[in-house]
Amino acid sequence: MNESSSFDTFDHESKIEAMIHAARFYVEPSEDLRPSVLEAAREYCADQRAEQRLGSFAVAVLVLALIASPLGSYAALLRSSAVTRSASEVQRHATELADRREIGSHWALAEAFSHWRHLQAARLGHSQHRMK
Amino acid sequence: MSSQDLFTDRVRLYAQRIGESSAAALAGLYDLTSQRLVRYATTITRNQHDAEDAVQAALVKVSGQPSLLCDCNHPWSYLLRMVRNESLLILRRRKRWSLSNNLSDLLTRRLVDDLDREDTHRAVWSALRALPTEQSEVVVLKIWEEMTFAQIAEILEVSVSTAASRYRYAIEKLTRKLQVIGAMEVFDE
Repeated sequence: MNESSSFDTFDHESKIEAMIHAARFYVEPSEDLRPSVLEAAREYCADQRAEQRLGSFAVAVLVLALIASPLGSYAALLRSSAVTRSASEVQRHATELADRREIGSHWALAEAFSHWRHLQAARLGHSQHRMK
Repeated sequence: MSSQDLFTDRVRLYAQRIGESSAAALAGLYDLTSQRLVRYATTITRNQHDAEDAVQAALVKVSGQPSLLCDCNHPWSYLLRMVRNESLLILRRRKRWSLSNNLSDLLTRRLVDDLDREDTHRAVWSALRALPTEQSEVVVLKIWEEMTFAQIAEILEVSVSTAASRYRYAIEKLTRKLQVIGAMEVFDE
Protein backbone atom coordinates (compact mmCIF):
# COMPACT_ATOMS: atom_id res chain seq x y z
CA MET A 1 0.00 0.00 0.00
CA ASN A 2 2.79 2.38 1.00
CA GLU A 3 4.75 1.52 -2.11
CA SER A 4 1.72 2.16 -4.22
CA SER A 5 1.11 5.52 -2.54
CA SER A 6 4.72 6.65 -3.01
CA PHE A 7 4.52 5.52 -6.63
CA ASP A 8 1.36 7.62 -7.02
CA THR A 9 3.09 10.63 -5.50
CA PHE A 10 6.06 10.15 -7.83
CA ASP A 11 3.69 9.74 -10.75
CA HIS A 12 1.83 12.92 -9.80
CA GLU A 13 5.03 14.88 -9.38
CA SER A 14 6.42 13.81 -12.73
CA LYS A 15 3.07 14.69 -14.31
CA ILE A 16 3.17 18.12 -12.65
CA GLU A 17 6.73 18.64 -13.87
CA ALA A 18 5.66 17.70 -17.40
CA MET A 19 2.73 20.14 -17.20
CA ILE A 20 4.94 22.98 -16.03
CA HIS A 21 7.48 22.12 -18.70
CA ALA A 22 4.80 22.28 -21.39
CA ALA A 23 3.80 25.80 -20.28
CA ARG A 24 7.30 27.20 -20.76
CA PHE A 25 6.54 29.00 -24.04
CA TYR A 26 3.12 30.29 -22.98
CA VAL A 27 4.39 33.79 -22.23
CA GLU A 28 6.30 35.75 -24.84
CA PRO A 29 7.95 39.18 -24.78
CA SER A 30 5.95 42.10 -26.18
CA GLU A 31 6.73 43.20 -29.73
CA ASP A 32 8.08 46.59 -28.71
CA LEU A 33 10.61 45.16 -26.24
CA ARG A 34 13.19 44.33 -28.92
CA PRO A 35 13.42 47.82 -30.50
CA SER A 36 13.22 49.36 -27.06
CA VAL A 37 16.17 47.29 -25.76
CA LEU A 38 18.27 47.98 -28.86
CA GLU A 39 17.53 51.71 -28.73
CA ALA A 40 18.31 51.91 -25.01
CA ALA A 41 21.58 50.02 -25.57
CA ARG A 42 22.55 52.36 -28.41
CA GLU A 43 21.87 55.40 -26.22
CA TYR A 44 23.76 53.87 -23.29
CA CYS A 45 26.81 53.16 -25.49
CA ALA A 46 26.66 56.68 -26.99
CA ASP A 47 26.50 58.18 -23.48
CA GLN A 48 29.45 56.06 -22.42
CA ARG A 49 31.47 57.19 -25.45
CA ALA A 50 30.57 60.85 -24.73
CA GLU A 51 31.65 60.42 -21.11
CA GLN A 52 34.94 58.89 -22.26
CA ARG A 53 35.51 61.78 -24.68
CA LEU A 54 34.72 64.31 -21.94
CA GLY A 55 37.12 62.52 -19.60
CA SER A 56 39.92 62.59 -22.20
CA PHE A 57 39.25 66.29 -22.84
CA ALA A 58 39.41 67.04 -19.09
CA VAL A 59 42.74 65.18 -18.82
CA ALA A 60 44.11 67.07 -21.82
CA VAL A 61 43.05 70.39 -20.31
CA LEU A 62 44.70 69.44 -17.01
CA VAL A 63 47.95 68.49 -18.75
CA LEU A 64 47.88 71.72 -20.74
CA ALA A 65 47.29 73.70 -17.55
CA LEU A 66 50.21 71.96 -15.84
CA ILE A 67 52.48 72.77 -18.79
CA ALA A 68 51.19 76.32 -19.18
CA SER A 69 51.55 77.45 -15.56
CA PRO A 70 55.42 77.54 -15.46
CA LEU A 71 55.39 79.12 -18.91
CA GLY A 72 52.97 81.73 -17.60
CA SER A 73 55.14 82.64 -14.64
CA TYR A 74 58.18 82.84 -16.95
CA ALA A 75 56.27 85.20 -19.22
CA ALA A 76 55.20 87.28 -16.20
CA LEU A 77 58.83 87.61 -15.16
CA LEU A 78 59.83 88.71 -18.63
CA ARG A 79 56.97 91.17 -18.66
CA SER A 80 57.91 92.65 -15.29
CA SER A 81 61.51 93.07 -16.40
CA ALA A 82 60.42 94.77 -19.56
CA VAL A 83 58.24 97.31 -17.81
CA THR A 84 59.15 100.70 -19.18
CA ARG A 85 58.61 104.15 -17.91
CA SER A 86 56.37 106.40 -19.86
CA ALA A 87 57.74 109.45 -21.69
CA SER A 88 55.94 111.75 -19.27
CA GLU A 89 57.73 110.12 -16.29
CA VAL A 90 61.14 110.66 -17.96
CA GLN A 91 60.14 114.23 -18.76
CA ARG A 92 59.08 114.86 -15.14
CA HIS A 93 62.35 113.38 -13.85
CA ALA A 94 64.28 115.64 -16.31
CA THR A 95 62.43 118.71 -15.03
CA GLU A 96 63.23 117.76 -11.42
CA LEU A 97 66.91 117.29 -12.29
CA ALA A 98 67.00 120.62 -14.11
CA ASP A 99 65.50 122.38 -11.08
CA ARG A 100 67.64 120.61 -8.49
CA ARG A 101 70.99 120.86 -10.25
CA GLU A 102 70.24 124.05 -12.12
CA ILE A 103 71.22 122.62 -15.47
CA GLY A 104 69.71 123.04 -18.91
CA SER A 105 66.59 121.08 -19.81
CA HIS A 106 68.30 119.20 -22.67
CA TRP A 107 71.12 118.06 -20.42
CA ALA A 108 68.64 117.14 -17.68
CA LEU A 109 66.68 115.05 -20.18
CA ALA A 110 69.86 113.24 -21.22
CA GLU A 111 70.66 112.62 -17.49
CA ALA A 112 67.13 111.32 -16.80
CA PHE A 113 67.26 109.06 -19.81
CA SER A 114 70.66 107.69 -18.82
CA HIS A 115 69.36 107.04 -15.24
CA TRP A 116 66.32 105.20 -16.59
CA ARG A 117 68.54 102.96 -18.77
CA HIS A 118 70.70 102.10 -15.74
CA LEU A 119 67.59 101.17 -13.78
CA GLN A 120 66.29 99.01 -16.61
CA ALA A 121 69.65 97.21 -17.01
CA ALA A 122 69.76 96.54 -13.26
CA ARG A 123 66.19 95.15 -13.25
CA LEU A 124 66.87 92.89 -16.24
CA GLY A 125 70.01 91.53 -14.58
CA HIS A 126 68.07 90.88 -11.37
CA SER A 127 65.25 88.98 -13.13
CA GLN A 128 67.73 86.82 -15.11
CA HIS A 129 69.47 85.99 -11.83
CA ARG A 130 66.10 84.93 -10.33
CA MET A 131 65.30 82.72 -13.31
CA LYS A 132 68.60 80.90 -12.95
CA MET B 1 27.65 18.33 -24.34
CA SER B 2 24.21 19.11 -22.85
CA SER B 3 21.74 21.51 -24.44
CA GLN B 4 22.31 23.87 -21.54
CA ASP B 5 26.07 23.90 -22.18
CA LEU B 6 25.42 24.62 -25.85
CA PHE B 7 23.09 27.44 -24.87
CA THR B 8 25.70 28.85 -22.48
CA ASP B 9 28.32 28.74 -25.24
CA ARG B 10 26.00 30.61 -27.58
CA VAL B 11 25.38 33.27 -24.92
CA ARG B 12 29.16 33.66 -24.52
CA LEU B 13 29.61 33.88 -28.30
CA TYR B 14 27.04 36.66 -28.59
CA ALA B 15 28.62 38.50 -25.66
CA GLN B 16 31.98 38.32 -27.45
CA ARG B 17 30.36 39.69 -30.61
CA ILE B 18 28.92 42.57 -28.60
CA GLY B 19 32.44 43.28 -27.36
CA GLU B 20 33.70 43.37 -30.94
CA SER B 21 30.92 45.32 -32.63
CA SER B 22 29.20 47.11 -29.73
CA ALA B 23 25.42 47.41 -29.32
CA ALA B 24 24.56 46.24 -32.84
CA ALA B 25 25.34 42.63 -31.90
CA LEU B 26 22.95 42.84 -28.97
CA ALA B 27 20.08 41.87 -31.28
CA GLY B 28 21.48 38.34 -31.52
CA LEU B 29 21.70 37.95 -27.76
CA TYR B 30 18.20 39.39 -27.41
CA ASP B 31 16.74 36.92 -29.93
CA LEU B 32 18.46 34.05 -28.18
CA THR B 33 17.54 34.85 -24.59
CA SER B 34 14.64 37.30 -24.35
CA GLN B 35 11.80 34.79 -24.06
CA ARG B 36 13.57 32.82 -21.33
CA LEU B 37 14.65 35.94 -19.47
CA VAL B 38 11.18 37.50 -19.60
CA ARG B 39 9.43 34.38 -18.30
CA TYR B 40 11.96 34.10 -15.45
CA ALA B 41 11.66 37.79 -14.56
CA THR B 42 7.87 37.53 -14.75
CA THR B 43 7.86 34.86 -12.07
CA ILE B 44 9.78 37.25 -9.80
CA THR B 45 7.99 40.54 -10.52
CA ARG B 46 4.58 38.92 -11.16
CA ASN B 47 4.03 41.50 -13.82
CA GLN B 48 5.25 41.16 -17.40
CA HIS B 49 5.73 44.90 -17.92
CA ASP B 50 8.07 45.10 -14.92
CA ALA B 51 9.77 41.90 -16.06
CA GLU B 52 10.51 43.43 -19.45
CA ASP B 53 11.93 46.52 -17.75
CA ALA B 54 14.24 44.25 -15.75
CA VAL B 55 15.33 42.34 -18.86
CA GLN B 56 15.97 45.61 -20.70
CA ALA B 57 18.07 46.99 -17.85
CA ALA B 58 20.17 43.83 -17.70
CA LEU B 59 20.74 43.61 -21.47
CA VAL B 60 21.65 47.31 -21.68
CA LYS B 61 24.27 46.72 -18.98
CA VAL B 62 25.63 43.80 -21.00
CA SER B 63 25.82 45.96 -24.14
CA GLY B 64 27.94 48.50 -22.26
CA GLN B 65 30.10 45.90 -20.56
CA PRO B 66 30.05 42.59 -22.47
CA SER B 67 33.08 41.40 -20.50
CA LEU B 68 30.63 40.73 -17.64
CA LEU B 69 29.47 37.67 -19.60
CA CYS B 70 32.63 36.88 -21.60
CA ASP B 71 34.86 36.62 -18.55
CA CYS B 72 32.68 34.44 -16.33
CA ASN B 73 32.49 30.65 -16.33
CA HIS B 74 28.71 30.42 -16.71
CA PRO B 75 27.48 33.38 -18.78
CA TRP B 76 23.88 32.15 -18.94
CA SER B 77 23.68 31.76 -15.15
CA TYR B 78 25.29 35.17 -14.76
CA LEU B 79 22.76 36.76 -17.12
CA LEU B 80 19.90 35.15 -15.20
CA ARG B 81 21.36 36.52 -11.98
CA MET B 82 21.61 40.01 -13.50
CA VAL B 83 17.95 39.83 -14.53
CA ARG B 84 17.02 38.55 -11.08
CA ASN B 85 18.81 41.48 -9.41
CA GLU B 86 17.10 43.98 -11.70
CA SER B 87 13.73 42.33 -11.02
CA LEU B 88 14.28 42.53 -7.27
CA LEU B 89 15.22 46.21 -7.60
CA ILE B 90 11.98 46.88 -9.48
CA LEU B 91 10.01 44.89 -6.90
CA ARG B 92 11.52 46.97 -4.11
CA ARG B 93 10.47 50.18 -5.85
CA ARG B 94 6.96 48.91 -6.51
CA LYS B 95 4.24 49.24 -3.91
CA ARG B 96 3.21 46.08 -2.12
CA TRP B 97 -0.49 46.38 -2.98
CA SER B 98 0.26 46.31 -6.69
CA LEU B 99 1.29 42.63 -6.54
CA SER B 100 -1.43 40.59 -8.18
CA ASN B 101 -2.04 36.92 -8.87
CA ASN B 102 -4.19 37.33 -11.97
CA LEU B 103 -2.68 36.84 -15.42
CA SER B 104 -4.09 39.94 -17.13
CA ASP B 105 -0.62 41.42 -17.63
CA LEU B 106 0.70 38.41 -19.57
CA LEU B 107 1.24 38.49 -23.29
CA THR B 108 0.62 34.92 -24.29
CA ARG B 109 1.38 32.84 -27.32
CA ARG B 110 -1.55 30.93 -28.82
CA LEU B 111 -0.45 28.19 -31.15
CA VAL B 112 -3.22 26.39 -33.06
CA ASP B 113 -1.83 22.98 -32.08
CA ASP B 114 -1.70 24.02 -28.45
CA LEU B 115 -5.12 25.66 -28.07
CA ASP B 116 -6.62 22.76 -26.12
CA ARG B 117 -3.86 23.08 -23.56
CA GLU B 118 -4.23 26.81 -23.04
CA ASP B 119 -6.34 26.36 -19.92
CA THR B 120 -3.69 24.05 -18.48
CA HIS B 121 -0.96 26.58 -19.24
CA ARG B 122 -2.98 29.33 -17.60
CA ALA B 123 -3.55 27.09 -14.59
CA VAL B 124 0.19 26.42 -14.34
CA TRP B 125 1.05 30.14 -14.53
CA SER B 126 -1.66 30.96 -11.98
CA ALA B 127 -0.41 28.28 -9.64
CA LEU B 128 3.17 29.51 -10.04
CA ARG B 129 2.09 33.06 -9.21
CA ALA B 130 0.37 31.85 -6.07
CA LEU B 131 3.67 30.46 -4.77
CA PRO B 132 6.15 32.55 -2.80
CA THR B 133 8.73 34.00 -5.23
CA GLU B 134 11.64 32.07 -3.71
CA GLN B 135 9.80 28.82 -4.50
CA SER B 136 8.46 29.71 -7.93
CA GLU B 137 11.85 30.85 -9.21
CA VAL B 138 13.41 27.53 -8.18
CA VAL B 139 10.71 25.72 -10.16
CA VAL B 140 11.33 27.90 -13.20
CA LEU B 141 15.10 27.39 -13.06
CA LYS B 142 14.77 23.66 -12.48
CA ILE B 143 12.07 22.80 -15.01
CA TRP B 144 12.27 25.50 -17.67
CA GLU B 145 16.00 26.19 -17.53
CA GLU B 146 16.87 22.55 -16.76
CA MET B 147 19.45 23.55 -14.19
CA THR B 148 20.90 21.41 -11.42
CA PHE B 149 20.28 22.37 -7.80
CA ALA B 150 23.94 23.39 -7.56
CA GLN B 151 23.51 25.84 -10.45
CA ILE B 152 20.24 27.13 -9.00
CA ALA B 153 21.90 27.58 -5.62
CA GLU B 154 24.63 29.65 -7.26
CA ILE B 155 22.14 31.96 -8.97
CA LEU B 156 19.98 32.42 -5.90
CA GLU B 157 22.98 32.57 -3.54
CA VAL B 158 21.56 29.91 -1.22
CA SER B 159 22.78 26.45 -0.26
CA VAL B 160 22.07 23.45 -2.49
CA SER B 161 19.87 21.85 0.16
CA THR B 162 17.83 25.06 0.51
CA ALA B 163 17.28 25.14 -3.25
CA ALA B 164 16.24 21.47 -3.23
CA SER B 165 13.84 21.86 -0.32
CA ARG B 166 12.25 24.97 -1.85
CA TYR B 167 11.69 22.94 -5.00
CA ARG B 168 10.12 20.08 -3.07
CA TYR B 169 7.72 22.38 -1.19
CA ALA B 170 6.85 24.17 -4.42
CA ILE B 171 6.06 20.94 -6.27
CA GLU B 172 3.89 19.72 -3.37
CA LYS B 173 1.91 22.98 -3.43
CA LEU B 174 1.63 22.96 -7.20
CA THR B 175 0.39 19.37 -7.18
CA ARG B 176 -2.36 20.28 -4.70
CA LYS B 177 -3.38 23.41 -6.58
CA LEU B 178 -3.44 21.82 -10.00
CA GLN B 179 -5.30 18.74 -8.73
CA VAL B 180 -7.99 20.96 -7.23
CA ILE B 181 -8.73 22.70 -10.50
CA GLY B 182 -8.58 19.45 -12.45
CA ALA B 183 -5.80 20.63 -14.69
CA MET B 184 -3.97 17.33 -14.47
CA GLU B 185 -6.90 15.44 -15.92
CA VAL B 186 -6.98 17.82 -18.86
CA PHE B 187 -3.27 17.27 -19.31
CA ASP B 188 -3.75 13.48 -19.24
CA GLU B 189 -6.13 13.67 -22.18
